[in-house]
Amino acid sequence: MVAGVSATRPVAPRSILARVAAGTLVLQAAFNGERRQGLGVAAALAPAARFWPAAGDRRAFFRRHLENFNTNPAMAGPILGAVVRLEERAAAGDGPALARVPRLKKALEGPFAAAGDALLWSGVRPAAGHLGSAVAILAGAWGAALFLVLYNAVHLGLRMGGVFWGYRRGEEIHRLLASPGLRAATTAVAGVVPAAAALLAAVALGPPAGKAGPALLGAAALALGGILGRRGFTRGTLLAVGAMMIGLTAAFMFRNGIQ
Amino acid sequence: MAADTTALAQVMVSQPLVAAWLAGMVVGDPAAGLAVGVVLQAVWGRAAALGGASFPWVGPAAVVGGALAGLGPGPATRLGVLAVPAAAPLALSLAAAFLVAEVGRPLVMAKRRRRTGLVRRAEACADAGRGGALVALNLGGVAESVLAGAVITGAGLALGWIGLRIVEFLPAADGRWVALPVLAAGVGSSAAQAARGRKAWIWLGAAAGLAAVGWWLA
Repeated sequence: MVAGVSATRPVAPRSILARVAAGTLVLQAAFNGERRQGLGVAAALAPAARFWPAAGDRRAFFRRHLENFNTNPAMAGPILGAVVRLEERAAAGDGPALARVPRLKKALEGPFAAAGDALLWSGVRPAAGHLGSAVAILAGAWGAALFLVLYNAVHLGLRMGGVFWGYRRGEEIHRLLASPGLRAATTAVAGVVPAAAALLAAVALGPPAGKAGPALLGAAALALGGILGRRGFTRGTLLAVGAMMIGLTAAFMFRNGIQ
Repeated sequence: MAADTTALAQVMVSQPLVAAWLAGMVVGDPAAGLAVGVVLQAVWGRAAALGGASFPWVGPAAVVGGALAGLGPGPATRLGVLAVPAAAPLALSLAAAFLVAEVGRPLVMAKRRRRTGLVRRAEACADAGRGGALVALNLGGVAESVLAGAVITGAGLALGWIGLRIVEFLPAADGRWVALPVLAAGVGSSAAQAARGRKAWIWLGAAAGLAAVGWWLA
């Protein structure tokens, strides 16, 4: 049976997956109060409609994916990849796979949103922002470039690469949520955020005199990040950002002689 | 920049560190734009578009802040390699950025409410099996964001430019007592924009009071 074969051996052309991956970049273009990312999902999955040659099946395909959907945009990649896999199986004759498409989306949008928000919005982006700002003070535009590279290495990897990964894993993508790798990455980034903030404050205020000064500041920043991250201080980042703001303000207004 | 916040790619060129630097470069002073970008990045680094919640429209705001910093008088001092504007133009750049970000907040929400009408059109495309039309409908959202962002950025730049010209004529143009009321006006009005009802008037009143005290001291 064709369905049995495609369940174990994915066969969708890479061009379809590549176009779906490109579609994730405009996932939120028509974000709206009624269906949230629904229109974006249907548009991103449009290349996969070719699995369904009959016009009636295509109509049902687009209707299915116009439903309300909302998750962290970067984490949508793996979900859409898994959906492509299920659609492929359903089109090949695996009836139950079709029923599992909406269930998979509903079951994973919330947990993947939470994981993505913690990793990207509360972790990678603030950390990359602080590090980029510190480098910007020392080396100008390189700071902005560093920020873009650090953030997008994770963001685009998940958002676009996630489509291919999700397609290979199919319905098993839920295991990502329990994987030690994701938990370790989220915890590590939670520690990097306050460390990077402390480093930025130190750079803005100027390192202490002596050759050991920068090394001591770096060590102190890493220790602070490690402690706050390990203990799961949810407000640690806010405290560090507050301290950094005070440091920046002081640096601007007093150390540099603004009157 | 406006579209990158949510509608297109979200590669974060709309974040202040990048957007303000680019805006500064366009007006001829990238180091001044970057100085404002560093400060705004610290303020908005954690502002995220979570679910359907409103959020400050950071992209256009950072462009306004960075461009005004570059358009103002030359740097008062340096922080590392950054060219930090004098207190008053710096405050004006930050205040204009705060205001644009908060005015952008309800604008983004209005766009999202208005787009609910798109759902019916998308359903019609789906029923006709026209995947291409559905994709085009989705991409229309990017154009809409670009247009709205251009309008709010233009308005912010125009107001900020007028502010810069006024600051130039003030007797203590570089004094921190001029910077204080300017910053108070920006933060106060943006906070009032973010708050609702009575709270908004309290914020605005507090900002006006602070601005008046700063003005009197100047």
